[in-house]
Amino acid sequence: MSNTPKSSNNAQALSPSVLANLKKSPRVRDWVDLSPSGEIQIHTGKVEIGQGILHAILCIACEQWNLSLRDAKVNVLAASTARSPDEAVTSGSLSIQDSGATVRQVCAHVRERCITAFALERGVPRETVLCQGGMLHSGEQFAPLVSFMTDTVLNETVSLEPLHANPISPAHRGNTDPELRQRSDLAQKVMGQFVYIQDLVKPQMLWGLVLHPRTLRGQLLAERLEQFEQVALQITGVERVVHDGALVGVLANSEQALSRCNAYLDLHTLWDESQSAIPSVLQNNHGIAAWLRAQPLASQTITQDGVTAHSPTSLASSSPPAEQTKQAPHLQAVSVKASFSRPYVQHASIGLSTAWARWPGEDDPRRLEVISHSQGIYNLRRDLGLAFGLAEQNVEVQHHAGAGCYGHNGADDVAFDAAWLASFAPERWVRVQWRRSDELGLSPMSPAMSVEITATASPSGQLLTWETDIWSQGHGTRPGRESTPALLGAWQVNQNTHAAPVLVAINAPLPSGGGAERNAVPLYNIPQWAVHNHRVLSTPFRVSALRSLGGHVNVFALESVMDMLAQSLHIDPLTFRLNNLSDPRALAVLKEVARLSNWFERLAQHHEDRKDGMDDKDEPYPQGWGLGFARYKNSGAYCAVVAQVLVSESVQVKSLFICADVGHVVHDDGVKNQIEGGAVQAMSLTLLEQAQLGLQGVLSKDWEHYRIARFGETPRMTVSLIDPLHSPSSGAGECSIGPTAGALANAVSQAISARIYNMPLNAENLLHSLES
Amino acid sequence: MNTPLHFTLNGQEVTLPSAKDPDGHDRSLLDVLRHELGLKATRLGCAQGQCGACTVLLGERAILACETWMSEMQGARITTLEGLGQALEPHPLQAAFITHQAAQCGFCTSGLLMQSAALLMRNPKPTVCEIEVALQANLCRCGVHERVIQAVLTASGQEADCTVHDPSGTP
Repeated sequence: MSNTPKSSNNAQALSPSVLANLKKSPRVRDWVDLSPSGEIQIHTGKVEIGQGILHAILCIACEQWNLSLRDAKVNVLAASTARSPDEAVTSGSLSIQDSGATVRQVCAHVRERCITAFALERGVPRETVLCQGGMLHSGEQFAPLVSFMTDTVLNETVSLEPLHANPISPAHRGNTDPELRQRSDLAQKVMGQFVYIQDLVKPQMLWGLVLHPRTLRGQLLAERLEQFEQVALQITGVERVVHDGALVGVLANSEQALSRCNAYLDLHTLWDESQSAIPSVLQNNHGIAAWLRAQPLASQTITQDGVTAHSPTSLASSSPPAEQTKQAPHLQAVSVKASFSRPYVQHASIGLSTAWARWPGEDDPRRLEVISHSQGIYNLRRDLGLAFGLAEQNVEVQHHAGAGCYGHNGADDVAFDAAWLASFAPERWVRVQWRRSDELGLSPMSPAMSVEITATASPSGQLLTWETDIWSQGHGTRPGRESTPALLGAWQVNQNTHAAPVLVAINAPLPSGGGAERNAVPLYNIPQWAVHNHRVLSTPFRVSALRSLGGHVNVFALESVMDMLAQSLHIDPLTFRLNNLSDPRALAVLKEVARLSNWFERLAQHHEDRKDGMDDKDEPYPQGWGLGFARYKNSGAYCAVVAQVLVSESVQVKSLFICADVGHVVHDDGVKNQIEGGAVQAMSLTLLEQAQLGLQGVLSKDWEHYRIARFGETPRMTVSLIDPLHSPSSGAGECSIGPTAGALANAVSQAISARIYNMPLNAENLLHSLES
Repeated sequence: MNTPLHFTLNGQEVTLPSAKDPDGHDRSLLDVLRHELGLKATRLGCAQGQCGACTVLLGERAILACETWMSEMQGARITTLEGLGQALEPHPLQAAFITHQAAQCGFCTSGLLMQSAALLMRNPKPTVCEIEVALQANLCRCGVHERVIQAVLTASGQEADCTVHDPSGTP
């Protein structure tokens, strides 16, 4: 039929995730619609968490329609369960890959369909019609594109034929169009006009405070509650103090009234935490690795042949990995065995988790409205339904942007808090914001990990065997995945009505990138390899996803071992990697980062200097260069990093050279910003960060006790992107994390001629590494 | 006895009936800005004076609004981000932050802009090292530090240059 959009010659086949999106939300109108005033609206299920996704989606639509923001008004709307396609969670660097590719297909469908309708109406040959600048043209004939976005078009089922290439549009429109080069939300943020979830105001609203115990087993003390209640109710503006189980709530008519409650709460606890069951060994980060290995475990082994599960604790806690690769099978092979670790680290956003909730009226069935900066509004809706005994369709969650989000933070939990507290004030909007001590002390942490690697290589420098053991809690307790809610407050209210036990963290399946085992499988060519992932089943602290999940520690360990092998073989670390890789895109990023950082020239100079006995004479502190590489999740973006460090009493990163291949680049400067941000966060995690833990919960509850990288510690950065033609886009947000950690480990090792196996890479852990 | 409080905010005279809340407790400048005067660009990040998200100008000096008490603000001259520049006439720092895309989530951005504005008032041509020192108390978790430094260089009329700080002279 002539109305059916035509497939384009150079369009790529639709990915399974795009097909799944279009199966769930098949109509054009699910993704593209017109506002009552005729402006184009794009609906995505992915949410803005500071990464610029809404702008990138806008770039994709403009690219497909070949228009600039001067030509037509196009808005990408914040997701809501009332209107948006369900795209689960904004995580795993999948937004451009999945949502972006779907929007691209839908916009291409609209373009092709409007061209056909225009050609028919004006009686011109279809091939002569151009879609450009918000108009359809053919000879003297022209009409606005939007005038052909009729109900008929918007109600159509989106074609599943690959259509997306726009033969008219220049590639990388987001890079060349000055209107799109700058992120559309940035000017508002810089001019102080952006409205965050924290800034909303509603008529008749109430300000709420929800107080949680500091550990998962804290018990509310009745007399402490009574004392607090007396103090609180004397503060003008405090309307009610409520409690349920271990949770305590305050409703007030001003934030000032809540601040005054906080002043009391900073000095007085309301809970008995003596049942916390937090092992005292966790008070010292050096004890964490041994503790992890001694816990009940659920283990699985990954090899070329797939994944094999072992029943919990079937592997003795510290038993050696499977036997076959323990015996070095090749005579004279070089062998390395080493253990690496990282303590628990914290999410540490600059903003405070905030949510709004309202129970409108005495409807039957009851309804709940929530405004949240959750990464997964549909998943949150499901778990709020479970927690409050509501059918999902009676819960509405509207996304509203908050401060930066780098993984599973307190957004979902505070949404429960707001809904719980609002149930004491029907019909009124209640705003709940966590305090700094809640933000750092209650948000899920990223699990501590211990990774042990045994690897061998032939004397000629070919990798032969590789075996990795990982001990870690799971990296996921996100809402929407279990039969009981994964919301902190739901675990702490009275359990008689809706029992919600503390959930044990799980790992995503490996095909989705895995959790603790993310990036543990080497991308290098190795004839025989195995990864044993031992999931720790104890939950002294709540843990969940943080940017790159296990990838941070696994690439740190893996790339350290690559350098250790190279050193034993007296081969340059870059050459050693190039010799053991065959994926051309992997080779390309490594060669490009070598060029950027003058790797080989410096190497030659280094040998020259050593010959002349001039090594590093001018440097007051030892200097080192190191390399790290990974392909994120072994399926996403390729990234190679070279780090230059000086080591004095601490590690100073002088510069980072980064090369990435994220496939088709939608918004060049946006990709670079994400890669740089990932590198700085990885540097902070690798060199500085460690949660301080005690029997009373997380002790690093303010910025003095939880150190993150500051301006004086951040390096100069050079980022280069390789954009291979016709490769689908991969996300950019997480690909630089692991390689930066690996590069820093290797640079520090080169600088001080000793390796620090445990993060953070500081003087204390250097001594610990030397001692053990 | 409550005394009316007069101060200048973004060039406008403001009068509040009192520096105190109904129970006589001093209010923070941050609370008054956000909830009394509706100026939301100054952000609450910690309420402990540890993150810099609430940085504003007192005269030409950067201060933390969360730890500044209204009773000390009689006659003060306060500038918040809303008063730094306007959409049609942005401050050079704002223009440079946009050009360099020196933000991601933007939550720390207000504080960084105000801290940088104070720096440029006392030192119109700061070096990279001086910028780093000036911004040391402001936290950013998205990792746009390098872009912010380059933006401050641009706003001060200096060439943004990655090698400027690198003594080893590597590219």
